Amino acid sequence: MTSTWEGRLLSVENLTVRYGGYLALSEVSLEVREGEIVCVMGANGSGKSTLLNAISGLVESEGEVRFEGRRSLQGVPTHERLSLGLAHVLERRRLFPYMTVLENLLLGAYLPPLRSERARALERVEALFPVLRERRHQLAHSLSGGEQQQVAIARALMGRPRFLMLDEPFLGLSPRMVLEISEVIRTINRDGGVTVLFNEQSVQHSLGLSDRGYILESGRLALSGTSGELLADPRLHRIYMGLDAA
Amino acid sequence: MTELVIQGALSGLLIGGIYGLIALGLNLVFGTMRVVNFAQGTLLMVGMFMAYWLFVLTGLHPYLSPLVTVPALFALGYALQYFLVTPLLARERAREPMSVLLMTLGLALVLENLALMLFRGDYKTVQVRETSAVWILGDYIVSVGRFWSFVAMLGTVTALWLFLSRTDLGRAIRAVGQDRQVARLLGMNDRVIYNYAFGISTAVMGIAAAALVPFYYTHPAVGTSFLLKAFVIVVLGGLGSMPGAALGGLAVGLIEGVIGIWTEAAVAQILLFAVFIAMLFFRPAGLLGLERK
Amino acid sequence: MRPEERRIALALGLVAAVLVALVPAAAQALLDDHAYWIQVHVWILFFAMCATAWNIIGGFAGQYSFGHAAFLGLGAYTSTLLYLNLGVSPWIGMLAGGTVAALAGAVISYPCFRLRGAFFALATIAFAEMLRVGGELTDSVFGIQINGARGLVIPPVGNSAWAFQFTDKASYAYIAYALLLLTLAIAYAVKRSRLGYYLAAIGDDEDAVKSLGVDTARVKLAALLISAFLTAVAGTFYAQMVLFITPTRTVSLDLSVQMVIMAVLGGLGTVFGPLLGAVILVPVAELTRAALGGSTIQGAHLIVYGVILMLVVRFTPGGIEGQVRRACRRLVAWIADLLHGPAAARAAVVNAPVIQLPEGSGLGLRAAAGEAVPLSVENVTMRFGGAVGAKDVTIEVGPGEVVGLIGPNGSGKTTVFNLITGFLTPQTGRILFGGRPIAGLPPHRINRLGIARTFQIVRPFTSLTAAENVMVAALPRCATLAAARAEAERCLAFVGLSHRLDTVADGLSTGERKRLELARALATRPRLLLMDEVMGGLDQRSLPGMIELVRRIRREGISLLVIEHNLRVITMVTDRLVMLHLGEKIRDGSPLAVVSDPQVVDIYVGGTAALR
Repeated sequence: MTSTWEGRLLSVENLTVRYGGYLALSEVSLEVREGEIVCVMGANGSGKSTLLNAISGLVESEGEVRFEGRRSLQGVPTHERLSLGLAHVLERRRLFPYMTVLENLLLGAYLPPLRSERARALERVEALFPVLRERRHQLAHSLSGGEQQQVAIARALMGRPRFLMLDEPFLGLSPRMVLEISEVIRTINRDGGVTVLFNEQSVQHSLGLSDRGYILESGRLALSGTSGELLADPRLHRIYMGLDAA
Repeated sequence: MTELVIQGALSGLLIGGIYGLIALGLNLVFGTMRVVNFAQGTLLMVGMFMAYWLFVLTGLHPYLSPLVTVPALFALGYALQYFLVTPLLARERAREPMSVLLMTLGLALVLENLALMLFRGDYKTVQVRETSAVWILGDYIVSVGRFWSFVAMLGTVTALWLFLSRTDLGRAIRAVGQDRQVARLLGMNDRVIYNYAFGISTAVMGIAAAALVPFYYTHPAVGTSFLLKAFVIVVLGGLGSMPGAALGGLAVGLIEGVIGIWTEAAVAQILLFAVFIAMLFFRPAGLLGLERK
Repeated sequence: MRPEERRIALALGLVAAVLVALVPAAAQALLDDHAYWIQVHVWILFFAMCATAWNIIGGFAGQYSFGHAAFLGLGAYTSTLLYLNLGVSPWIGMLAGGTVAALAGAVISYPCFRLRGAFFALATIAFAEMLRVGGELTDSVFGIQINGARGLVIPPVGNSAWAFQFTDKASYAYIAYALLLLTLAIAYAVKRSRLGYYLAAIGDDEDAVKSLGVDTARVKLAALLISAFLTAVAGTFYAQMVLFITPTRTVSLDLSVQMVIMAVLGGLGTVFGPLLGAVILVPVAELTRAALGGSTIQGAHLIVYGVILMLVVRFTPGGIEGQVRRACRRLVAWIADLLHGPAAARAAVVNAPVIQLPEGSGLGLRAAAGEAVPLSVENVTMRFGGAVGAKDVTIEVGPGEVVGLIGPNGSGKTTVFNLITGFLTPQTGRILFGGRPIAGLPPHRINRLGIARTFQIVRPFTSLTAAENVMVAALPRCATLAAARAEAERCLAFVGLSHRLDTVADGLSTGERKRLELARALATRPRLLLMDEVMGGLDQRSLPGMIELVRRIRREGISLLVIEHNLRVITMVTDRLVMLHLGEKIRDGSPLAVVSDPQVVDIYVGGTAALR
């Protein structure tokens, strides 16, 4: 499934988001190639979440978002983007709290074209997250943070996306859970052929997992490059941490 | 004495089925959109007049009227949501927008008084077998009409419960109620789903109307008295909870039936409102409220 | 408004008032069916009175009561019963009725004020219906005959001012007019008083008002008492005009709903809106009745009311008062131009993007607030369902000390703030301020003790101006509005917002809103200030100004507890740092020691060591 469009799956051009008078994102451009894991890093309030929300259409933006080929996403309502292959797991998991794990997962394949494959998809995600099978009939809000994150990712995968966005997937998780989720993201990418764009505050978690990274500072793009380049870049610590390297 | 109480309880329970049905409709919309629909009772009245005129003009038995009223009321509810409520929800940021409450209040005033103008304020009744037929069970009398209304409630609750928990549209309605943004990301068009929810909640009034018309008077103001009780039931049974609405309806009917043995029905009404306020104060999530923090 | 414009507006208002007063006399002289027209006039005045009274709690405070007819009924019944049984003049009965209604309001407020929006509306309906049905069923209370649903008849005695009875309708019109003017004057006074400021702010954000030391429950209660009293006064008037009252007609849901509709149409929360609503709707009702064949159809006018309500909600949710006011302004300006020549162009407000802090003296907080005292948070734990917000957290802030609170997203920083300021009550542990336990106190009490806060996501009162925002905070400690205004100006000057005094907060930029919130917190004269990410979301240009502002605040000598994400900034302004992670405190020490601690770097930013 190599794209004829130079291998780019997502291309963001000069994306700008305003909340009232406040410029949350200013002329950010980036691209994600088929099969990559790309991360967006930055401190709180740097515009990481806003970027993802703009890509999935939850917030209005100026500029261009192109997906798969040259198709522009501007003007496509959020609920039509999953059928194009674009899934998005929001910050803090956001499960349907008063539904069971199974119901949450089934809703991931709500779109009619996905329903015929639903049993198979369910088998796949439960193979990926074995604990979910045990929790099937538990209400989502009673799960632990790590389990909730697993359900959230599994629910997104039920939609069989080509491109998965994860907003702070490691937030509030224990170190062991962070490793586990990282491993799952790698598996999804390597074996499932899903391209991943995620954001994260921590450099450690981000660059260890991703092929390339972008660093945002106050809504602007400050640095970008492969993970190796970024790690070697002396500006990383200064820009990102606001501190000289200890 | 015991027999009197049991008889009262029995009659009350049976009428409680109707209360439960109306509360069910109210709760579906509240549970999904956090919208308090002041026009719910008036829409019941519309259904009753439809059933009444179907009977008078074509001789259709009220129990068959849902064949006409349910689709018609569904379409009406869908349209009301589309034209009146959606534009407001798009504008409001509040979770429980008062503007929608005022909008449905306006609608209720219009419909009720329009009916008063068109059909006058006399009490209209339909004479069918179920109007006066009773079954004698040992020492107790069961009104056939009330019995079937009770069955209708049980059937509708079961059907709605299955719909909400087993079908994709039903789950989507609950999902949109719990997290609209995520629902959108999973491909659900929340606006269309709201339309369906409102349509279904209105369509349920067609069933309640069919069950009610054979043994109750049809009158433009009939909705208002049921509406206030339905609010009590929704709060009693839990906001957004379907079984809660059904059980709450039965409980209210029971209280009315038993108290009615000793004194006027109006005393039961006072008691209900007192319970209502106490519930709001002490247990705002309701006795069976599940889908609510 | 120019002074000459103000004079013209006043003159026009007086002319209008006199014209309205002349309507009954003119009708009597000119029209054959004058009794009917005067009666319509009286109804307009009566409904305007009711809707204006309703608006004090419904509009000013945003608590939609759908049971106000209950107060009307209590007023009507109290004065009538006093007159029939004890021969008390209804004029005196009017005051007694108001008092009874206010007492009932106080009783109702206890369960109802905990409810929001639709639930408050439903609870008020329930109360009114209980009263109506109870009244209909009751023949006598404590031996006093009230005749249940049959109601009470006041026997006519001819013209008697003492008995509040007149044979001509015009007298009722003048009394209604006087009562309406009184009601409007009270509504205006409430709007312009400290109560009015609090109510407007509560309508925007009740929690933020609590954090400024205002007991919001008492404020809402005061509004309800005034509203109930005035509605009951209208009730006595109704009884004396009709001379026949029943529970069904006085405590009717329709009547309550009409008050709501008139206020909504005119403009919720405005002084004159409900009057406009009545002026439009009552004649509309009369016309509809006339067009649809007299009184055979009771509810015809309600169809029109319903349609108007739906149109207003859909298209002008703020009511029509704004449009009418603007039209009046234009008229006044046009007359002023005719009389005095065109006005000079106003000076444009200069927008200063970068903070310019004024030179000069500080606020003298230390002197005003008294000696700084230590805050100790001791082993505090707070769980939310399965998640832990704070686990055995201990934090000390010494007198005059500046402590920073850092940690990644979700580490519990804001939870700690909510615990200290009373928005949450810890499950275990103690919080002491100056040695006094404060955990579990309501937010406004904690603020009164000298702890102020800002919110992570700024919460200005968006419908108030910058100065009014700060006045809400200053009022609990100021004797007069003027003093509060002066204090607000001082605080806004201190944060560099002097040029924005009269700008509505909704129009301020994010940076300005942050500074407005600081000014608001400072106006409560805190001994300890909790700042939640005041630097967050600021662009680089305004950062130095904000840092300077924080330094100025610390020079005031008060203690500070600061949440901040930018490590560079926080090490510049604090004496000590506390690091939270997953709800637990993991480090506490000098800023440099904490931020260079490998474990802190590892958790907070991600160490490079563990990368491969």
